[in-house]
Amino acid sequence: MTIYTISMKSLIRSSAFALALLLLASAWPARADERIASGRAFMTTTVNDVLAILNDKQLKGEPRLKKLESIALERFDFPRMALLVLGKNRKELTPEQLEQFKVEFKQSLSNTYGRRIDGYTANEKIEMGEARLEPNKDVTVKTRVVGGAAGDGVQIDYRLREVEGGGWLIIDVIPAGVSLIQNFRSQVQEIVTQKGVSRLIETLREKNQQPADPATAAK
Amino acid sequence: MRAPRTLVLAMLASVGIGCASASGPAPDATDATQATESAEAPNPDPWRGFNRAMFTVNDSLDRWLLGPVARGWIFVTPETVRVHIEQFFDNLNFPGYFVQPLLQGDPKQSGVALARFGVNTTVGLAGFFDPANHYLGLSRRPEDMGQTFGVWGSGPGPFLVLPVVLPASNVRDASGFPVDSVLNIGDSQVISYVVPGLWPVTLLRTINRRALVDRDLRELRAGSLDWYSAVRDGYLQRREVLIRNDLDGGQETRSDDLYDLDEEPDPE
Repeated sequence: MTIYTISMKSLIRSSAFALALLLLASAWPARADERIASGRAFMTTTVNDVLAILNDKQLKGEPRLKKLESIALERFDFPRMALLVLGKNRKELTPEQLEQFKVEFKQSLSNTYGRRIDGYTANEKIEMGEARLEPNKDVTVKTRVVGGAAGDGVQIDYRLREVEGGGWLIIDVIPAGVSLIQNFRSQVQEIVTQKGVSRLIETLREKNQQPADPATAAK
Repeated sequence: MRAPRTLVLAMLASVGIGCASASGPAPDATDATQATESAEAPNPDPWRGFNRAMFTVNDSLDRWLLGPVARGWIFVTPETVRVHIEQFFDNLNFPGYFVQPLLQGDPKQSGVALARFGVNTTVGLAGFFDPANHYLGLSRRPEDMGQTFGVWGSGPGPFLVLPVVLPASNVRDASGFPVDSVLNIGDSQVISYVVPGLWPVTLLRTINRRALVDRDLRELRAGSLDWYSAVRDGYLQRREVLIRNDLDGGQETRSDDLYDLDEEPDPE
């Protein structure tokens, strides 16, 4: 009799457990889908904002470039990107150097990004692609720039990280499968091991003070 | 917040080692970064000194000779003309694009290459146009011997730069160079040594191709902190994508901690 009750109890318990598992399992994909959709929505808005600027015929030259840069400043998580780019090397920097690096890196990247997008011509279009959930819960959204010289266009992936309190920010740009963060990390590693940390910050500063190459600057 | 003394010491040490490692690897364990890096993966660039020197030669040639000539070419040709010229040369790479997928165990892709060549050579007027892609959805997929070695499981090996012929390569891809010179005819320079009359054609292809990437190249160069290592890493990442034929494939080769900072507390 006692055995029966125990097994009955455990039966209820285990079935409750199974039910909970089942609920979790069915809830998980929904939450994952939601996450993917929300990341993708963020990227769609960003792309639309960029396209609005590119299609505005009245906007030209410096003001247009500044507007594109300001989108980059809003939608990229520059402080985090700076840390990711430093990787383990960030421990080699003093807190002051780290702050300097963040400031200079932010300026350098928003300039580069602004110039890059500014170079798009009117017949180039940005298409939104699929999005996927990464193991660490980041969301990667695919986009494709079509209509340029390359026949099939160029795939550009954006990796997004959720911000505390909701919302998303871009933490990596991956054109044609080449991660910007990985690429900058290699460069930082090279400069730090070959020339030292102080040279790293100097290099960034010099880059930022240089005027844009007249041939690639906004026309 | 003040820097812990150990951090400052480590920093000073790493600056010293940074200078020392220009002549050879630093065995000193105080340089934590270098120590862990070498434990995780072999140094991708053991011939850095040689490569950097060769890279400087190539980069100077590009800045002062090829680049200006290419911009002259841009001035006298519309972009569509340059694109069609590139497509003509790419169509001649057919033997390589056909044979390599066979060696990789992907006969379906060889079929695609064959169909592309057939359609583009005829309907596409000797390859100047790409109707196979526009109307049949058969998109271009470049293949070479180095990619096949990669599919067979070969790692990239040490990074390698040689004057003019290999602006960026590695031992694996350079090993494929002799085969590519024969099969990827559209890309081949060697063919001009055999048939000297082809030199003007080879030169045109080189200038035209350089013209097509002129803007991208200069933007990337301007945006880089260290152009040499930017090219080295970009090449490695890009080749990985080509070997896997998958734009998402590259991420598997990225280090695990690329997006996650190990938030270990300060030792204080």
